[in-house]
Amino acid sequence: MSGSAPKERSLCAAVEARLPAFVDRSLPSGERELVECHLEECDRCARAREELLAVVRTVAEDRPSAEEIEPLLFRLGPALDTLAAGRRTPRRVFFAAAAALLLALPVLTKLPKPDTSLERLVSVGRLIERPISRTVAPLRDLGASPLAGAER
Amino acid sequence: MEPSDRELVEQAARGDRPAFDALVRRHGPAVLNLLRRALGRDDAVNDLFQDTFLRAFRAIDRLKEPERLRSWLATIAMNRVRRHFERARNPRVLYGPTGGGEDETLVEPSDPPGDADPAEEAERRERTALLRAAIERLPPRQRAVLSLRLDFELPYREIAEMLEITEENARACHYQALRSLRRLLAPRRAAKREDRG
Repeated sequence: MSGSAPKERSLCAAVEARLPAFVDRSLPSGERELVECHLEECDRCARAREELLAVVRTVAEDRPSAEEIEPLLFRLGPALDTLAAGRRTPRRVFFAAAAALLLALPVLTKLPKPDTSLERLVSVGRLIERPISRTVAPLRDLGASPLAGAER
Repeated sequence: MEPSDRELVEQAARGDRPAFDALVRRHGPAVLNLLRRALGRDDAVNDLFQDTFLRAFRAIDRLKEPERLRSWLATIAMNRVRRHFERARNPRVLYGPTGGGEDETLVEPSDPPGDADPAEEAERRERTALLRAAIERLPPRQRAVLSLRLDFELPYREIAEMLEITEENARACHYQALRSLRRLLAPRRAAKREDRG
């Protein structure tokens, strides 16, 4: 294509405006076909497409290497360890507590129930309240031998 | 076979460090590239990288769609970038004027693989350095869209949501970035053609 005629020049301008979308594969299919037809016969526009594709390739290829990530990951390590420990601990504690409860359950169910009946509480209360002399008196009675009267 | 993102995310959500390390190795290069491209020559790149992955680890048990991990990481990284510039009272990263115009590289190009042809490698390094300088001359929003499209391969809808712009605007940014890069790199291509001729 000579590119000299005004009509052809305007077509080239229209195609060139669509080239970024064309190389990005985001041009609607109808327009894409028109651009493809034009590129087959226009060297100037075809070169422009190649240049854009080279730009896309170079940008996409320019990525940090895996080796560049390692020192950053190393620096992250202590903070990640702290977070990881914090995330694991509550779960671990929960499971440990649950396991302890399950193990203790049979023992707990077989323990004798404390006698909390009213009579028992009352008798314990009386025992506590009883004066020492009254508690000791029966001992004196126990000690009353047949010889006691003789002594008197 | 390598574990999928979903498997690694599920393990990491239970506090599995090696699983999270694998995710950092897998997606770290794209995140680092996004930060470098969005921030330009800024010392905060490494700090924001750390911040992005720490936040990701903290919230990974709330990630409902593990297959969208990549765009989730990009969102976290872009939020960090926005906060960084807000703190610096310089919100130029997404909405301001164009970046600097100096022909310096953002960072040194990576070291060459051991078995590369030295001439080809020199050519690659030169091309990369020029590209990085050209990218830094783009407006910040175009740089961000370019990276989200080419490094993360995100659809325009997601890019638009992330940057709070319209889908059309996101497309226009990307197309304009490609046009500008082609123009900025044109003098070098013309010189090459002359050398060959």
